[in-house]
Amino acid sequence: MLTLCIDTAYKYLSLALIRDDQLLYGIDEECFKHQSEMVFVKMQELFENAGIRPNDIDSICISDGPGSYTGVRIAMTIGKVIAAVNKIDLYTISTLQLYANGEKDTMVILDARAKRVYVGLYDGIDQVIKDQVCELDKIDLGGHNLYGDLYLFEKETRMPLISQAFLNVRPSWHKVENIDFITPRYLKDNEAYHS
Amino acid sequence: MRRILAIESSCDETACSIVNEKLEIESSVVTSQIDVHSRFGGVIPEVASRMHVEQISVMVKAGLKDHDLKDIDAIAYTIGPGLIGSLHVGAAAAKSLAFFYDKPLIGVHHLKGHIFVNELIEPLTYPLLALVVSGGHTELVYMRDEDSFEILGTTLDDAVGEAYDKVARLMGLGYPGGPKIDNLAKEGKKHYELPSPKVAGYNFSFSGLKNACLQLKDRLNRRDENLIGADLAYAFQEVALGHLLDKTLKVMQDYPVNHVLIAGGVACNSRLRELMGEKIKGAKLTLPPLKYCTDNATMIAVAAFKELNHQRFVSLDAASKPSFGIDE
Ligand SMILES: [Zn+2]
Repeated sequence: MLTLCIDTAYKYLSLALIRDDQLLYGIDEECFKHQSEMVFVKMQELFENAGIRPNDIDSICISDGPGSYTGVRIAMTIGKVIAAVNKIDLYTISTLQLYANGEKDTMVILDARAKRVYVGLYDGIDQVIKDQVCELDKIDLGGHNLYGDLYLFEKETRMPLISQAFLNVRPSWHKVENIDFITPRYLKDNEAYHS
Repeated sequence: MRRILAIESSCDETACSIVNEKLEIESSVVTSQIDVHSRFGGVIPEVASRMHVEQISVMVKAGLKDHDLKDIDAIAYTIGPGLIGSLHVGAAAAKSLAFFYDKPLIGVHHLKGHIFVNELIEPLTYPLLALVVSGGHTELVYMRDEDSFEILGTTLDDAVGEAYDKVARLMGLGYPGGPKIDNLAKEGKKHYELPSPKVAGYNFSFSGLKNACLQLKDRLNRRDENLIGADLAYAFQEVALGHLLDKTLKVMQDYPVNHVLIAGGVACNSRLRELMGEKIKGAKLTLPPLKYCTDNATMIAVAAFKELNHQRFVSLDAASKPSFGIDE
């Protein structure tokens, strides 16, 4: 299996080409709000460096949120369109689970603005609590391994190497049964309806 | 034969078409979100973006139908103007196809699509004057040839379609307001007086007219008189469309014009079509069928052939342009 992995859901643009249990090539950039312009330029670089033609992939894995609304839609649009046209498999992974990197007892916190955060808690590849949006001041960091926007807690922000993380959480990739029906995990659903 | 696959997603329609160089439509699908947005009384950008993502794979598959991407020469998409979140979805879809199938990518100006789609009806002759009217646009575009776009007039406040929506809302008619007012006006008569907008040059203004409607409603309310909806619809429509006609005719007095056409969603308006037919003299007039007035991807493909002929392509890092002037 040769999989193109794409994460544009948050502040980063990460791409990986994974063949079975091997990361062939990865690209990780901080690219807030410019993923739409940069994603295909970087993808070109990815395929060239890996020495693989784009249409050789037989599957795509995308992070499907939570994150920035615009960001999650980029990878999802690419994933849906290419999976549809090439008739290949599409996999998704929660952004929070991806950023937990398959590590033990790991909490991931991302800024959801307005004093709220997206929070996920994972233990290895197991989900401990459901991904959710919370008030910032309700978060108890406990003794967990931490990733994400830790500046919110006056700690240094810490992120795994996301391209590698795609491989590390591979057992948790969720295979999409019907690509036409999937939608990003926005988590803040009602917010769309305020103009 | 060369073929272009085009994707349109600038507002609340998701669409995909394939058009060949003889301007034959080989496939065309459009899905509108209007039923959803009508519940909120207008297009909510975030909802529109979400619905585009939901629809995109279905629309691309349906647009491709039995075509192989091998037989497609270029991928086109609406690069702007429009809602940024909505534009992003169409851009990502188009770039995906261009990248994976190594096709040239064409970024099309949405309004050029509305104008050039008229080539499906008859050849365009220049100089040409296009009255582009929709929920987001009210523009008089003057074209000396197929590659020159001069905005002679534009709205100083609301777009004409927006004014229709606002007046429909204050009358309790719901969204979208255009067809509702158009239909109701047919039952109305000359009764209420509304002031004609006074704007210099070829520009438009609709907010004063909208406010006059609101004031009329309030005044009648205070006197406990009934507002006759059909008569207000009639009065509003006559003034709003008369304003469009006046400026169009003013351009025709001042500039040589061989061909006049209307484009955009408000070009569906039956009274506007009737007035144009009556008043436009001395130039060819094209009133496109309704299916080409509302947003579709066929128009993007037709306009994309102009770019293809000039070998004007965009790169994979092209940014979508939510406010993109046709004269840029
Ligand atoms: Zn339009």
